[in-house]
Amino acid sequence: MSVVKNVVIAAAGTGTRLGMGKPKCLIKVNGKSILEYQLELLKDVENVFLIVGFCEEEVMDFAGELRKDIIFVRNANFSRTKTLGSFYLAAKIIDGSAIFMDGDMIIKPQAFDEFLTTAAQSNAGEFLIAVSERISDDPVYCKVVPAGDKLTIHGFSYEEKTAYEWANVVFMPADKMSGGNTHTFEHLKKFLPAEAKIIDRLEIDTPEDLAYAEKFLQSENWF
Amino acid sequence: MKKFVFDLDGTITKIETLPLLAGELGLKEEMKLLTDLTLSGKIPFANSFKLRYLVLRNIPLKKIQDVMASVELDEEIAAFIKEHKKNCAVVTGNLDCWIEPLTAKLGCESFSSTSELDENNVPVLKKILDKGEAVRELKKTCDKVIAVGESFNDVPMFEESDVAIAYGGVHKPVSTAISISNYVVFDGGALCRLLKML
Repeated sequence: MSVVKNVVIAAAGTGTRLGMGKPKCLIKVNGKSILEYQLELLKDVENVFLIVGFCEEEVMDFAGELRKDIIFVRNANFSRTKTLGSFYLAAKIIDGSAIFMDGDMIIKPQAFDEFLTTAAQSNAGEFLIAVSERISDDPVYCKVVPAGDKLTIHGFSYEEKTAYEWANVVFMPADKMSGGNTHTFEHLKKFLPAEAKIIDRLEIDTPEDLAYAEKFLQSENWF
Repeated sequence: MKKFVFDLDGTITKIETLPLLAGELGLKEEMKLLTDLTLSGKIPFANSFKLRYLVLRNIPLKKIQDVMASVELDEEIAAFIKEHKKNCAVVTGNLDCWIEPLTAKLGCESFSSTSELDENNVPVLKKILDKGEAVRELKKTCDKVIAVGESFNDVPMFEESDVAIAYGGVHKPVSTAISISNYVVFDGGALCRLLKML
């Protein structure tokens, strides 16, 4: 049993850039939905919170078939909030720490397992911020420096290019999450420096991302 | 004080009890039809309940209570209620004397439609419960009311509560209930874990 007890997945958005008229978590990549890839990573996590908004009933019907004990948190205001606002709806009832992640990416299982292990070993109150060396079209760069055998993140920036980008996954105390309408990384700036951990993941934001992911997963041995 | 309020039929019980009772009269399917129309909000609860009451009052009360005593409960929800008796209440449109074996088992307070027994021990319907009114009553003494339900007649209860949970353990909650809820769960274990967080 994983000792990371809570994972929150934000899946309330409309996914307009992908333009497929349905929530991104339901989009199939090589025959399997993004949500299915994500839930497989969370088999040992006790509480999975899925934030729903756009097409909420479709998402709940589908997700409920994959895993019966998901706690669906409704973001009725999804069209006017960002991911941070969605995360907060679950965070405000969680005691202790949780992983908060976007519902629009496929994460390399081995990398996620290592993230889970590191998160489980961290001390109460500590943050663990995921960064990726796979740079997307619209990156938020991360200033990352080695600290012994670990990595430390000191800043986020759109302009200052680095070898790492913010991977939209963070392990943190739930009571440090906040409402508001800024980007999640803007909120996380308040808690830097923090430990960083590299994960590999494919973000699916555009039709090009989707085509790339399909091709990539056919050639790479992630699963 | 915090209060968890639960719908009874199809939330705490694993089945709708009125069609089950109607089985005693060979009217299970007819009662199910009426119940389904009511759950989805196609006919008003009060009218439908009056009709259903008039059919079911023909069954001896003792028989009704025996059938009710055998109704399967959602184990996890029943355990949660027993463990937190003082903080729980059943809020149901069902009739007080019919559900008595179930409320006795659960041991918490209950709000239901009310009746008085006539000289032949047949219940005479007195008042059909408005679930919203029950929550308003509870709010006088409780600072936080958390409601769990799934059907159209739970909507007034959701509207008056501080937190609303649409629970699809038996059947999918109706869309109107989902649309005014804060959380939606389909599993008794997940529901109880959520309740403990609230």
